[in-house]
Amino acid sequence: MEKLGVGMDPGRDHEFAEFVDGRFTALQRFGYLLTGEWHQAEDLVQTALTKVWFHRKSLRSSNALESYTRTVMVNTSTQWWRRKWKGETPTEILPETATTSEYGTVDDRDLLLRALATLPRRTRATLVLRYFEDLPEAEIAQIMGCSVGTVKSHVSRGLAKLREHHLVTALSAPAQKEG
Amino acid sequence: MTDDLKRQFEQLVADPPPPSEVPSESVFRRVRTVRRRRTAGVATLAAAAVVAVTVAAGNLTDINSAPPVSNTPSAPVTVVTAAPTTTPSYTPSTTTTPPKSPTGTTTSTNATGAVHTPNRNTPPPSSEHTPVAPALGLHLTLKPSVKGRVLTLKVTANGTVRVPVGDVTSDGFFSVLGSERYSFGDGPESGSDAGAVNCQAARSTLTGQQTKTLIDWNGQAGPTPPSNHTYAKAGTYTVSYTVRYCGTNGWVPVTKSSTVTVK
Repeated sequence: MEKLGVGMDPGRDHEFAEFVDGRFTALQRFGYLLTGEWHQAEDLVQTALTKVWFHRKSLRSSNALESYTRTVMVNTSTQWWRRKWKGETPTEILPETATTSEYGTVDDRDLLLRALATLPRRTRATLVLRYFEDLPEAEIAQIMGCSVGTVKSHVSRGLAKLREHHLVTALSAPAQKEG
Repeated sequence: MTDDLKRQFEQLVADPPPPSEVPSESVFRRVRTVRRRRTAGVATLAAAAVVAVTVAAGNLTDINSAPPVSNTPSAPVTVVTAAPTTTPSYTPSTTTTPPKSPTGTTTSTNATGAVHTPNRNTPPPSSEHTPVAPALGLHLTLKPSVKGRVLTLKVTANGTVRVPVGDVTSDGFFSVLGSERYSFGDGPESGSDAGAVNCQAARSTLTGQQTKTLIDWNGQAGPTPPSNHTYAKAGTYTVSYTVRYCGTNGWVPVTKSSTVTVK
Protein backbone atom coordinates (compact mmCIF):
# COMPACT_ATOMS: atom_id res chain seq x y z
CA MET A 1 0.00 0.00 0.00
CA GLU A 2 2.95 2.30 0.53
CA LYS A 3 3.57 2.41 -3.15
CA LEU A 4 0.20 4.04 -3.61
CA GLY A 5 1.19 7.10 -1.68
CA VAL A 6 1.57 10.28 -3.66
CA GLY A 7 2.13 12.75 -0.86
CA MET A 8 5.07 13.72 1.25
CA ASP A 9 3.66 11.97 4.32
CA PRO A 10 3.57 8.18 3.86
CA GLY A 11 1.71 7.74 7.12
CA ARG A 12 -1.14 9.96 6.06
CA ASP A 13 -1.22 8.34 2.63
CA HIS A 14 -1.46 4.94 4.25
CA GLU A 15 -4.26 6.11 6.54
CA PHE A 16 -6.13 7.65 3.64
CA ALA A 17 -5.71 4.48 1.54
CA GLU A 18 -7.15 2.41 4.39
CA PHE A 19 -10.11 4.74 4.62
CA VAL A 20 -10.74 4.54 0.88
CA ASP A 21 -10.51 0.79 0.70
CA GLY A 22 -12.55 0.29 3.84
CA ARG A 23 -15.37 2.70 3.15
CA PHE A 24 -15.52 2.61 -0.62
CA THR A 25 -18.48 0.25 -0.85
CA ALA A 26 -20.54 2.26 1.61
CA LEU A 27 -19.71 5.44 -0.23
CA GLN A 28 -20.52 3.76 -3.50
CA ARG A 29 -23.98 2.85 -2.22
CA PHE A 30 -24.52 6.40 -1.09
CA GLY A 31 -23.40 7.57 -4.50
CA TYR A 32 -25.77 5.17 -6.18
CA LEU A 33 -28.71 6.64 -4.31
CA LEU A 34 -27.55 10.08 -5.39
CA THR A 35 -27.03 9.24 -9.04
CA GLY A 36 -29.09 6.14 -9.72
CA GLU A 37 -26.23 4.48 -11.61
CA TRP A 38 -23.54 2.22 -10.20
CA HIS A 39 -20.74 3.25 -12.56
CA GLN A 40 -21.62 6.86 -12.16
CA ALA A 41 -21.64 6.29 -8.43
CA GLU A 42 -18.14 4.81 -8.58
CA ASP A 43 -16.98 7.77 -10.61
CA LEU A 44 -18.60 10.11 -8.12
CA VAL A 45 -16.87 8.42 -5.19
CA GLN A 46 -13.47 8.48 -6.85
CA THR A 47 -13.89 12.12 -7.83
CA ALA A 48 -14.93 13.07 -4.33
CA LEU A 49 -12.10 11.13 -2.72
CA THR A 50 -9.63 12.81 -5.04
CA LYS A 51 -10.88 16.20 -3.92
CA VAL A 52 -10.78 15.10 -0.31
CA TRP A 53 -7.18 13.93 -0.60
CA PHE A 54 -6.00 17.48 -1.29
CA HIS A 55 -7.75 18.68 1.87
CA ARG A 56 -7.07 15.67 4.09
CA LYS A 57 -4.55 17.53 6.26
CA SER A 58 -7.26 19.85 7.54
CA LEU A 59 -9.40 16.94 8.68
CA ARG A 60 -8.69 15.77 12.20
CA SER A 61 -10.37 12.36 12.37
CA SER A 62 -11.64 9.54 10.20
CA ASN A 63 -15.21 10.49 11.07
CA ALA A 64 -14.57 13.97 9.79
CA LEU A 65 -12.97 12.44 6.71
CA GLU A 66 -16.05 10.39 5.89
CA SER A 67 -18.42 13.22 6.68
CA TYR A 68 -16.43 15.58 4.49
CA THR A 69 -16.40 12.94 1.74
CA ARG A 70 -20.18 12.76 1.80
CA THR A 71 -20.33 16.54 1.63
CA VAL A 72 -18.11 16.54 -1.42
CA MET A 73 -20.18 13.80 -3.00
CA VAL A 74 -23.41 15.74 -2.51
CA ASN A 75 -21.90 18.93 -3.89
CA THR A 76 -20.27 17.14 -6.80
CA SER A 77 -23.44 15.33 -7.77
CA THR A 78 -25.31 18.63 -7.59
CA GLN A 79 -22.68 20.21 -9.85
CA TRP A 80 -22.99 17.37 -12.32
CA TRP A 81 -26.75 17.72 -12.33
CA ARG A 82 -26.50 21.48 -12.83
CA ARG A 83 -24.20 20.93 -15.78
CA LYS A 84 -26.88 18.77 -17.33
CA TRP A 85 -24.30 16.13 -18.05
CA LYS A 86 -26.54 13.37 -19.26
CA GLY A 87 -25.10 12.69 -22.68
CA GLU A 88 -23.19 9.53 -21.91
CA THR A 89 -24.11 7.21 -19.11
CA PRO A 90 -21.79 4.30 -18.50
CA THR A 91 -23.66 1.01 -18.43
CA GLU A 92 -22.84 -2.62 -19.00
CA ILE A 93 -26.26 -3.57 -20.34
CA LEU A 94 -28.17 -1.74 -23.00
CA PRO A 95 -31.28 -0.15 -21.53
CA GLU A 96 -34.50 -1.89 -22.34
CA THR A 97 -37.93 -0.52 -22.72
CA ALA A 98 -40.12 -0.61 -19.67
CA THR A 99 -41.95 -3.85 -19.24
CA THR A 100 -43.98 -5.41 -16.50
CA SER A 101 -41.77 -7.51 -14.33
CA GLU A 102 -42.81 -10.59 -12.50
CA TYR A 103 -40.56 -9.68 -9.68
CA GLY A 104 -42.12 -7.08 -7.50
CA THR A 105 -38.86 -6.22 -5.80
CA VAL A 106 -37.30 -5.30 -9.09
CA ASP A 107 -40.31 -3.18 -9.91
CA ASP A 108 -40.10 -1.50 -6.56
CA ARG A 109 -36.44 -0.68 -7.11
CA ASP A 110 -37.18 0.76 -10.50
CA LEU A 111 -40.08 2.77 -9.17
CA LEU A 112 -38.04 4.10 -6.28
CA LEU A 113 -35.21 5.13 -8.59
CA ARG A 114 -37.69 6.89 -10.87
CA ALA A 115 -39.24 8.62 -7.92
CA LEU A 116 -35.87 9.72 -6.64
CA ALA A 117 -34.98 11.01 -10.07
CA THR A 118 -37.89 13.41 -9.93
CA LEU A 119 -36.59 15.04 -6.77
CA PRO A 120 -34.26 17.98 -6.67
CA ARG A 121 -30.69 16.94 -6.04
CA ARG A 122 -30.38 18.37 -2.58
CA THR A 123 -33.77 17.06 -1.55
CA ARG A 124 -32.78 13.64 -2.80
CA ALA A 125 -29.48 13.80 -0.93
CA THR A 126 -31.29 14.87 2.22
CA LEU A 127 -33.67 11.92 2.04
CA VAL A 128 -30.82 9.50 1.48
CA LEU A 129 -28.84 10.89 4.37
CA ARG A 130 -31.88 10.87 6.62
CA TYR A 131 -33.46 7.51 5.82
CA PHE A 132 -30.56 5.48 4.45
CA GLU A 133 -27.61 6.72 6.46
CA ASP A 134 -29.81 7.38 9.52
CA LEU A 135 -28.01 10.62 10.22
CA PRO A 136 -29.55 13.17 12.57
CA GLU A 137 -30.78 16.39 11.08
CA ALA A 138 -28.00 18.40 12.67
CA GLU A 139 -25.32 16.29 10.98
CA ILE A 140 -27.23 16.40 7.73
CA ALA A 141 -27.33 20.17 7.99
CA GLN A 142 -23.56 20.16 8.51
CA ILE A 143 -22.99 17.95 5.51
CA MET A 144 -25.39 19.88 3.32
CA GLY A 145 -24.08 23.20 4.49
CA CYS A 146 -27.47 24.48 5.46
CA SER A 147 -29.61 24.96 8.53
CA VAL A 148 -31.59 22.28 10.35
CA GLY A 149 -34.79 23.98 9.26
CA THR A 150 -33.75 23.65 5.67
CA VAL A 151 -33.08 19.97 6.21
CA LYS A 152 -36.56 19.51 7.65
CA SER A 153 -38.02 21.37 4.72
CA HIS A 154 -36.15 19.14 2.25
CA VAL A 155 -37.30 16.01 4.06
CA SER A 156 -40.91 17.13 4.15
CA ARG A 157 -41.07 18.11 0.51
CA GLY A 158 -39.15 14.99 -0.54
CA LEU A 159 -41.53 12.65 1.24
CA ALA A 160 -44.52 14.49 -0.17
CA LYS A 161 -43.09 14.08 -3.63
CA LEU A 162 -42.51 10.38 -3.14
CA ARG A 163 -46.05 9.88 -1.96
CA GLU A 164 -47.28 11.12 -5.30
CA HIS A 165 -45.80 8.04 -6.93
CA HIS A 166 -47.49 4.73 -7.03
CA LEU A 167 -44.94 2.87 -4.96
CA VAL A 168 -44.81 5.41 -2.22
CA THR A 169 -48.53 5.86 -2.06
CA ALA A 170 -48.71 2.23 -1.12
CA LEU A 171 -46.74 3.11 1.91
CA SER A 172 -48.41 3.97 5.07
CA ALA A 173 -49.27 7.46 6.06
CA PRO A 174 -46.31 9.60 7.04
CA ALA A 175 -45.26 8.97 10.54
CA GLN A 176 -43.59 11.40 12.83
CA LYS A 177 -39.89 10.83 12.63
CA GLU A 178 -38.11 11.68 15.77
CA GLY A 179 -34.74 12.95 15.72
CA MET B 1 -43.21 4.98 6.05
CA THR B 2 -39.67 5.81 7.00
CA ASP B 3 -38.89 2.24 7.87
CA ASP B 4 -40.27 1.12 4.54
CA LEU B 5 -38.25 3.79 2.80
CA LYS B 6 -35.13 2.72 4.57
CA ARG B 7 -35.82 -0.88 3.65
CA GLN B 8 -36.34 0.05 0.04
CA PHE B 9 -33.11 2.04 0.07
CA GLU B 10 -31.26 -0.93 1.45
CA GLN B 11 -32.80 -3.24 -1.13
CA LEU B 12 -31.84 -0.79 -3.80
CA VAL B 13 -28.15 -0.90 -2.88
CA ALA B 14 -28.10 -4.49 -1.68
CA ASP B 15 -25.94 -5.85 -4.48
CA PRO B 16 -23.37 -3.26 -5.52
CA PRO B 17 -21.00 -4.31 -8.28
CA PRO B 18 -17.44 -4.90 -7.21
CA PRO B 19 -15.14 -1.98 -7.84
CA SER B 20 -13.32 -2.16 -11.14
CA GLU B 21 -9.98 -2.01 -9.33
CA VAL B 22 -8.58 -1.42 -5.90
CA PRO B 23 -10.33 1.77 -4.83
CA SER B 24 -7.29 3.40 -3.31
CA GLU B 25 -5.24 2.74 -6.44
CA SER B 26 -7.82 4.38 -8.64
CA VAL B 27 -8.10 7.34 -6.28
CA PHE B 28 -4.35 7.84 -6.08
CA ARG B 29 -4.10 7.59 -9.85
CA ARG B 30 -6.60 10.43 -10.11
CA VAL B 31 -4.65 12.37 -7.52
CA ARG B 32 -1.47 12.01 -9.52
CA THR B 33 -3.27 13.10 -12.67
CA VAL B 34 -4.64 16.19 -10.94
CA ARG B 35 -1.22 17.06 -9.55
CA ARG B 36 0.36 16.72 -12.98
CA ARG B 37 -2.29 19.00 -14.45
CA ARG B 38 -1.78 21.53 -11.70
CA THR B 39 1.99 21.40 -12.15
CA ALA B 40 1.61 21.80 -15.87
CA GLY B 41 -0.75 24.69 -15.31
CA VAL B 42 1.68 26.37 -12.95
CA ALA B 43 4.53 25.78 -15.38
CA THR B 44 2.47 27.20 -18.21
CA LEU B 45 1.59 30.24 -16.17
CA ALA B 46 5.21 30.70 -15.16
CA ALA B 47 6.36 30.40 -18.76
CA ALA B 48 3.70 32.87 -19.85
CA ALA B 49 4.78 35.24 -17.10
CA VAL B 50 8.42 34.93 -18.15
CA VAL B 51 7.50 35.61 -21.76
CA ALA B 52 5.38 38.58 -20.76
CA VAL B 53 8.14 40.02 -18.61
CA THR B 54 10.68 39.42 -21.35
CA VAL B 55 8.53 41.15 -23.92
CA ALA B 56 7.85 44.01 -21.56
CA ALA B 57 11.53 44.35 -20.69
CA GLY B 58 12.46 44.27 -24.35
CA ASN B 59 10.02 47.04 -24.94
CA LEU B 60 11.59 49.16 -22.24
CA THR B 61 15.01 49.99 -23.49
CA ASP B 62 15.36 53.59 -22.57
CA ILE B 63 17.17 54.69 -19.47
CA ASN B 64 13.93 55.62 -17.80
CA SER B 65 12.22 52.44 -18.99
CA ALA B 66 10.41 54.40 -21.63
CA PRO B 67 9.32 52.53 -24.70
CA PRO B 68 11.66 52.96 -27.59
CA VAL B 69 10.81 55.14 -30.52
CA SER B 70 10.68 53.06 -33.61
CA ASN B 71 12.39 54.43 -36.61
CA THR B 72 9.52 53.91 -38.96
CA PRO B 73 9.60 56.52 -41.67
CA SER B 74 5.90 56.18 -42.43
CA ALA B 75 4.84 56.30 -38.83
CA PRO B 76 3.19 59.50 -37.67
CA VAL B 77 5.31 61.69 -35.50
CA THR B 78 3.67 63.19 -32.48
CA VAL B 79 4.64 66.79 -31.97
CA VAL B 80 2.99 68.73 -29.20
CA THR B 81 2.74 72.37 -30.03
CA ALA B 82 3.12 74.59 -27.05
CA ALA B 83 4.47 77.95 -26.15
CA PRO B 84 8.21 77.91 -26.62
CA THR B 85 9.74 77.67 -23.21
CA THR B 86 13.16 76.44 -24.11
CA THR B 87 15.91 77.75 -26.26
CA PRO B 88 16.67 75.63 -29.26
CA SER B 89 19.66 73.51 -28.57
CA TYR B 90 21.08 74.06 -32.04
CA THR B 91 23.74 76.76 -32.04
CA PRO B 92 25.58 77.63 -35.19
CA SER B 93 29.32 77.73 -35.05
CA THR B 94 29.63 80.97 -36.94
CA THR B 95 29.35 84.43 -35.49
CA THR B 96 26.37 85.37 -37.57
CA THR B 97 23.04 86.14 -35.96
CA PRO B 98 21.71 83.02 -34.21
CA PRO B 99 18.68 81.61 -35.99
CA LYS B 100 15.44 82.02 -34.23
CA SER B 101 12.99 79.20 -33.75
CA PRO B 102 11.49 78.97 -37.20
CA THR B 103 8.04 77.85 -36.19
CA GLY B 104 7.86 78.71 -32.55
CA THR B 105 7.13 75.11 -31.72
CA THR B 106 8.96 72.82 -29.44
CA THR B 107 8.57 69.28 -28.35
CA SER B 108 7.30 69.37 -24.83
CA THR B 109 8.16 66.49 -22.59
CA ASN B 110 6.03 67.71 -19.73
CA ALA B 111 2.95 67.89 -21.86
CA THR B 112 3.06 64.28 -22.85
CA GLY B 113 4.91 62.80 -19.94
CA ALA B 114 7.12 61.03 -22.35
CA VAL B 115 10.87 61.28 -22.42
CA HIS B 116 12.10 63.82 -24.89
CA THR B 117 13.59 62.20 -27.90
CA PRO B 118 14.58 63.93 -31.06
CA ASN B 119 12.59 63.33 -34.13
CA ARG B 120 14.46 60.46 -35.62
CA ASN B 121 12.92 61.04 -38.97
CA THR B 122 14.81 64.29 -39.10
CA PRO B 123 18.53 63.87 -39.37
CA PRO B 124 20.45 65.43 -36.52
CA PRO B 125 22.31 68.66 -37.13
CA SER B 126 25.51 67.91 -38.89
CA SER B 127 28.76 69.07 -37.42
CA GLU B 128 29.95 69.93 -40.90
CA HIS B 129 28.39 73.23 -41.78
CA THR B 130 28.31 74.82 -45.16
CA PRO B 131 31.27 77.15 -45.48
CA VAL B 132 30.21 80.69 -44.89
CA ALA B 133 32.09 83.44 -46.66
CA PRO B 134 33.90 85.67 -44.19
CA ALA B 135 32.54 89.15 -43.83
CA LEU B 136 34.22 91.81 -45.88
CA GLY B 137 36.29 94.22 -43.86
CA LEU B 138 39.69 95.70 -43.34
CA HIS B 139 41.62 96.29 -40.16
CA LEU B 140 44.55 98.65 -39.91
CA THR B 141 47.30 98.78 -37.33
CA LEU B 142 49.80 101.60 -37.02
CA LYS B 143 53.11 100.96 -35.36
CA PRO B 144 55.14 104.16 -35.02
CA SER B 145 58.78 104.05 -34.03
CA VAL B 146 60.52 107.29 -33.08
CA LYS B 147 64.25 107.74 -32.84
CA GLY B 148 65.12 111.30 -32.07
CA ARG B 149 63.04 113.26 -34.52
CA VAL B 150 62.88 110.46 -37.05
CA LEU B 151 59.62 108.54 -37.25
CA THR B 152 59.33 105.15 -38.86
CA LEU B 153 55.70 104.28 -39.33
CA LYS B 154 54.64 100.76 -40.17
CA VAL B 155 51.10 99.95 -41.13
CA THR B 156 49.54 96.53 -41.16
CA ALA B 157 46.40 95.77 -43.10
CA ASN B 158 44.50 92.53 -42.72
CA GLY B 159 41.02 91.43 -43.59
CA THR B 160 38.89 90.24 -46.46
CA VAL B 161 38.20 92.42 -49.40
CA ARG B 162 36.84 92.03 -52.88
CA VAL B 163 39.46 91.94 -55.60
CA PRO B 164 38.86 94.79 -58.01
CA VAL B 165 39.04 94.12 -61.68
CA GLY B 166 41.76 95.87 -63.67
CA ASP B 167 45.42 96.70 -63.33
CA VAL B 168 46.05 94.91 -60.09
CA THR B 169 49.60 94.06 -59.27
CA SER B 170 50.50 90.89 -57.57
CA ASP B 171 52.85 92.20 -54.96
CA GLY B 172 50.84 91.65 -51.87
CA PHE B 173 47.62 92.40 -50.05
CA PHE B 174 48.06 96.16 -50.43
CA SER B 175 47.88 95.75 -54.18
CA VAL B 176 44.14 94.91 -54.02
CA LEU B 177 43.45 97.97 -51.90
CA GLY B 178 42.51 101.30 -53.33
CA SER B 179 44.02 104.69 -53.05
CA GLU B 180 45.69 105.64 -49.81
CA ARG B 181 46.36 108.88 -48.01
CA TYR B 182 48.50 109.34 -44.98
CA SER B 183 49.93 112.18 -42.99
CA PHE B 184 52.75 112.40 -40.46
CA GLY B 185 51.26 115.38 -38.71
CA ASP B 186 53.39 117.95 -40.35
CA GLY B 187 54.11 118.67 -43.96
CA PRO B 188 51.96 117.63 -46.91
CA GLU B 189 50.01 114.41 -47.18
CA SER B 190 51.41 111.48 -49.04
CA GLY B 191 49.65 108.76 -50.86
CA SER B 192 48.81 106.98 -54.06
CA ASP B 193 45.82 106.33 -56.23
CA ALA B 194 44.31 102.98 -57.06
CA GLY B 195 45.05 103.11 -60.67
CA ALA B 196 42.78 101.76 -63.42
CA VAL B 197 40.77 99.28 -61.36
CA ASN B 198 37.05 98.67 -61.19
CA CYS B 199 35.45 97.77 -57.88
CA GLN B 200 31.89 97.41 -59.21
CA ALA B 201 32.87 94.47 -61.42
CA ALA B 202 34.65 92.66 -58.60
CA ARG B 203 33.46 89.10 -57.97
CA SER B 204 36.15 87.29 -56.05
CA THR B 205 37.31 88.01 -52.53
CA LEU B 206 40.71 87.83 -50.94
CA THR B 207 41.68 87.38 -47.31
CA GLY B 208 45.15 88.46 -46.43
CA GLN B 209 47.55 90.50 -44.33
CA GLN B 210 50.51 92.65 -45.17
CA THR B 211 52.75 95.14 -43.40
CA LYS B 212 54.67 97.91 -45.00
CA THR B 213 56.58 101.01 -44.00
CA LEU B 214 55.13 104.26 -45.19
CA ILE B 215 57.26 106.34 -47.47
CA ASP B 216 57.61 110.03 -46.86
CA TRP B 217 57.20 111.53 -50.27
CA ASN B 218 57.38 114.93 -48.72
CA GLY B 219 55.26 116.36 -51.47
CA GLN B 220 57.60 115.33 -54.21
CA ALA B 221 58.35 112.17 -56.01
CA GLY B 222 61.89 111.14 -56.02
CA PRO B 223 63.85 108.10 -57.10
CA THR B 224 64.78 107.16 -53.58
CA PRO B 225 62.20 108.45 -51.20
CA PRO B 226 62.95 107.88 -47.54
CA SER B 227 61.01 105.25 -45.60
CA ASN B 228 60.80 107.48 -42.56
CA HIS B 229 59.81 111.00 -41.66
CA THR B 230 61.93 113.58 -39.91
CA TYR B 231 60.19 116.17 -37.84
CA ALA B 232 61.51 119.68 -37.85
CA LYS B 233 60.93 120.22 -34.19
CA ALA B 234 59.89 118.38 -31.09
CA GLY B 235 56.29 118.03 -30.27
CA THR B 236 53.31 115.77 -30.36
CA TYR B 237 51.98 114.84 -33.75
CA THR B 238 49.04 112.88 -34.98
CA VAL B 239 49.72 110.46 -37.76
CA SER B 240 46.90 109.09 -39.82
CA TYR B 241 46.55 106.56 -42.55
CA THR B 242 43.53 106.13 -44.82
CA VAL B 243 43.09 103.42 -47.39
CA ARG B 244 40.10 102.17 -49.33
CA TYR B 245 39.12 98.64 -49.97
CA CYS B 246 36.59 97.22 -52.39
CA GLY B 247 33.48 96.32 -50.51
CA THR B 248 30.07 95.06 -51.50
CA ASN B 249 28.78 98.39 -52.63
CA GLY B 250 32.03 99.99 -53.79
CA TRP B 251 35.04 101.55 -52.24
CA VAL B 252 35.07 101.78 -48.45
CA PRO B 253 37.58 104.06 -46.72
CA VAL B 254 39.26 102.94 -43.52
CA THR B 255 41.24 105.38 -41.39
CA LYS B 256 43.61 104.73 -38.56
CA SER B 257 45.31 107.43 -36.47
CA SER B 258 48.00 107.43 -33.84
CA THR B 259 49.87 109.98 -31.74
CA VAL B 260 53.64 110.24 -31.60
CA THR B 261 55.75 112.41 -29.38
CA VAL B 262 59.01 113.73 -30.65
CA LYS B 263 61.44 115.17 -28.17
